[in-house]
Amino acid sequence: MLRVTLKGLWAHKLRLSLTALAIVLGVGFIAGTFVYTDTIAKAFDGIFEDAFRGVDIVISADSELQFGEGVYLPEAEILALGEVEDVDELVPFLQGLGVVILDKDGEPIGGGGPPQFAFSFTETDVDSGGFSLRSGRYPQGPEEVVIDARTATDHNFAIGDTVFVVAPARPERGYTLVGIAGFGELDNLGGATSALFDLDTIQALLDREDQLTGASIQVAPGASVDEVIASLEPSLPEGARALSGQSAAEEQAVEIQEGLAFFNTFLLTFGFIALFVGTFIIANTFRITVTQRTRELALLRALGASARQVNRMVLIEAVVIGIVASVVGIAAGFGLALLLKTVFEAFGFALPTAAPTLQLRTIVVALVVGVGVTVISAILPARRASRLPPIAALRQDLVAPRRKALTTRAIVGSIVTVSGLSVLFFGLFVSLDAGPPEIVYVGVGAAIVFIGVSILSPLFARPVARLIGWPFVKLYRLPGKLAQENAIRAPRRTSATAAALMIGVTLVTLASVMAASINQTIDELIGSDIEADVIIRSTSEFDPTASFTPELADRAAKDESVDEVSRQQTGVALFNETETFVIGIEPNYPDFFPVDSSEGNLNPGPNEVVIERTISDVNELPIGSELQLSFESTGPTTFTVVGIASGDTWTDVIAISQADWVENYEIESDTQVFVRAASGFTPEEVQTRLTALAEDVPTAQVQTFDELADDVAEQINGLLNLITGLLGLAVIIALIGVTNTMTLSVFERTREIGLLRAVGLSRRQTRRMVRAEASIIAVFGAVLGILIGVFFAWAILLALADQGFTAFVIPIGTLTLWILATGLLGVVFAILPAWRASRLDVLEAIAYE
Amino acid sequence: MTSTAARAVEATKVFGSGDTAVTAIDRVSVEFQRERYTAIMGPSGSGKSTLMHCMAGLDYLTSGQVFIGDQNLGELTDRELTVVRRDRVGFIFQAFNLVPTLTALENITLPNDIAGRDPDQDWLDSVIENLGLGDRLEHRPAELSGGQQQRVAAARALASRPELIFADEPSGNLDSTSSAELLDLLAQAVREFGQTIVMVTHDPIAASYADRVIFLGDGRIVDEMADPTADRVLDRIKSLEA
Ligand SMILES: Nc1ncnc2c1ncn2[C@@H]1O[C@H](COP(=O)(O)OP(=O)(O)O)[C@@H](O)[C@H]1O
Ligand SMILES: [Mg+2]
Repeated sequence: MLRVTLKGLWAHKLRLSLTALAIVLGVGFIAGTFVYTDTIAKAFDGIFEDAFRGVDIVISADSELQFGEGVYLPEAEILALGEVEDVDELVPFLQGLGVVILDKDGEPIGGGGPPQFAFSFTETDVDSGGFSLRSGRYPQGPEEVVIDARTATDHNFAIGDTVFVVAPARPERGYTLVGIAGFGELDNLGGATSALFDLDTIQALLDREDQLTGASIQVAPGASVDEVIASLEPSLPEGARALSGQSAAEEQAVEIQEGLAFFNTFLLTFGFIALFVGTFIIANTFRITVTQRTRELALLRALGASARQVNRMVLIEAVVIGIVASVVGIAAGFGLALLLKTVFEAFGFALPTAAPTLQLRTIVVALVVGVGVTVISAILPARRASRLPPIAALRQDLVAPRRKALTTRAIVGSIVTVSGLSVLFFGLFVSLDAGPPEIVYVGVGAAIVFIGVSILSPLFARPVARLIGWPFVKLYRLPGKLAQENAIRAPRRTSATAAALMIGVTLVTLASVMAASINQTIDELIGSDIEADVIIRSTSEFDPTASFTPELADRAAKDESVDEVSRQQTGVALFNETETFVIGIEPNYPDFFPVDSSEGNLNPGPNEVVIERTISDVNELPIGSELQLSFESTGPTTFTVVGIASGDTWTDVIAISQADWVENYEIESDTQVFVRAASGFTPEEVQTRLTALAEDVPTAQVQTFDELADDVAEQINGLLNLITGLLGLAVIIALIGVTNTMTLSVFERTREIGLLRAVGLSRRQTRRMVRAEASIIAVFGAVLGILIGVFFAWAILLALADQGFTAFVIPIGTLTLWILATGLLGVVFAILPAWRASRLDVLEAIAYE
Repeated sequence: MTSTAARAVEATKVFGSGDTAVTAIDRVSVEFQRERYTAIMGPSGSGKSTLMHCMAGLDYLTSGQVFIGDQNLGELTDRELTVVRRDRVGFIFQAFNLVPTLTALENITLPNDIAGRDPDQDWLDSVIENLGLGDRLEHRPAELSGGQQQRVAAARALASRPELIFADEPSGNLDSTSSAELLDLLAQAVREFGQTIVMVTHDPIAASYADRVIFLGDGRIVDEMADPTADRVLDRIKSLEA
């Protein structure tokens, strides 16, 4: 029996490879994601090992906050540790963020994503931070800088050049480039820029005189690291800790791995979506091939093969296809890893890489997923095959294709769809304290809805295919008519193929509708509520805490075009044990951001806080109640709630006074300055004037609110493009399904096509007939997908309404384009089967049994 | 052990229901003797195939009983029926007898394969030799002529030495030479190896190879004849039609 299976597979290599292709792509993407992220992780491991080579002990302050300013340690107390017994050498270091290198045109480098670092860089045997000189020498004195090799090559800096650098609270200043450094083998740190100074210089630059981030220690030869740590501990300043170099390397590697895990999951999601689509394709292919082999399978039954043997035969076929496809998929994964790397580099995320890493885990996951998906897809077709009566071998004409009664289909389909919707809505509208996160329910619910709709879709395949086929009938006449009839004649096949496409199109539609709606929401917010005309903000788009010198606000306030300014600082603190943004506001803040309703006083005094209504409701914090914020540098502080506000622009606000801000945060520079124009000045005029005033602060940009909206829209669209690109994989797999179905259907209709050709259908007309049918199927899928996608988007936006997502926009132009594009792609993916159909030998086709 | 290889008792098969109901065989009772070659004749639509399918465990009766040996097929589950087909019965159909992806030899040993048994090599060799297929064994069905294909099917049926072989118009698609070769072969199997064969045919010449002919008409047995010759069979058909 195994021989029958294997021979059958081998005899249908084309069928095999088409089925396998869907799996190869899905598994390839998953394997590729693993290879890519594992490679990055390995590269980072290597970096940290290098970085801490020769470092026995690291003194550092640890913060739980991701967007925090970092905790700083008193320099004198750290240097004093050098006197502890068996400490051979102690190298103090300081590092900071938001230090921007300007290119030769004076424009900030980076800021679109990865951070902009500054480090102290000291000549020593004890490696600190992992930078090593590539050329030149170490920086010495207040005039010298070393930069990372990537920044140097990208912006044509050579040793001896003057490099301008801007720190958060400092205007730009020129330094002489005396050296170029690499981070181990890497030219930079994951796309970040790095400026390296001697310790005194960076302390001054960051306003951190007498402060350090930590120190690296080398112990005396023969001394035990653990013992030295033990003897260091009593003298450590508050908030500092001592770790062995090895633990520090491991800790950093773990941190990176956690970050990568998120990235990994994000990418894997698309791989699994693709495989889910693949499931539909494979199930459909198996269903068709089982039908085509009815006689063969029934013959085996007549000869005494048990139902189980036939069932197993189809499943073994699936296992073999699954294994072959997974193995090819793993190989393809290497290529995809490379592609991912290129794509992400194009998007500005340059991550370090090493030689591609293939872990056992990757192989196991790829095989399990690949084989699992194929076998699951084959379960129903296999059951169908096993239920073929042996008599079907003899009376094929009399065995009507077993069709589920329409009512059964309608009932089952509706039940599945409604259950899917219930799970989806549960995930959207019920907040959970325990169990899997809500998004899992949303995803699973959506998957069930897809299955339900695919069960239901044959019910309306006929009328829809008739409608979609209409233009083809007009355009191509007879071939169009035949295509339409073929699509209608096999409603199950038409809709199963379309269902696969539906999934990809649904998700793309969802993303488009969400993006359009969010853009609209932002437009409305910015357009209506805010009583400011111009905003001054940092050029670092992705870091909400990136700040610039407060001098800018002072200058703006004095300008005649300006009526009033309001400064805001943004930072993080722990609130309810989660990292939460806190803003420092001026008393006039509520004038700039009008409230719909408020309670109490919106102008917080010392140890007072103003919060948004939802935060108050969710955490049961009425006026007069107390709330604790834990700051990085000053620790937990209790505030009294004095005001509660609600309004479209007040989302998630926890605001303290600027006096308290200065008390609890080290960085006092502004993250945003809101400017209202004096009467007689347009926003554009104010912008022009303030831009001139801010010329020496390249890390700040002056924008009108229209420009701000455009900027935000651009970011959202960038994300949308990335997601659409990744979903493209699912769409491609679905389109391969179209090729697959059309190939099988041409094969099945060999006789019929031969007959049509015999009575005079030209090759060209034959091709048109096949392509038009593919197009009808594809458009059917697109229409379904768009309908469901719009519905999903509506549901999700409804769930997000109380978070301010009030607009619901259907981008009709984009969606129409999608329908047309899908129809066209259907044609493209049917070229091969169409060509085959047109090349059939007429005589042979008619004699074909 | 009786000398009856298979028998039907009041076997009735109705296709469809209501207005469209067709009674394909109507209370047919018949016995097939061991080591005998029986032909079933009758005009098209008279129920020959239906009777054969029901007796071979390929299809179910509407009422009545069929036995293979002492085994009442109506009492068997699908699984048990499968085993009967696999181990006790052989088939030769009019067309589509062979799995297209397997070679001739693989098709011949397919029932053994399905059962997971090794074929009796000596027997297999003699069957193959008898059929004159020695040089075509590695060919696929598509590479064989119609006559060769049917001989492979016959070899397959004979190879597993079933109690009973059912053949449904095995020579129906063949030219007269190929047809004669095949029919000789089947007759030889009965004479020399004591094989039991039940063959459906509407060709008087084919029927003349048998020991006994049963005539069906409108789902009933209308006549039978022992030691037929082609002429006598033809005469009988004419008289039955009259
Ligand atoms: N699966 C079926 N469904 C409906 N009618 C059938 C089926 N099989 C056979 N019949 C009918 O039963 C009658 C006998 O058919 P059959 O046994 O094939 O006759 P024969 O083999 O003698 O030509 C015919 O009228 C035929 O149309
Ligand atoms: Mg018949």
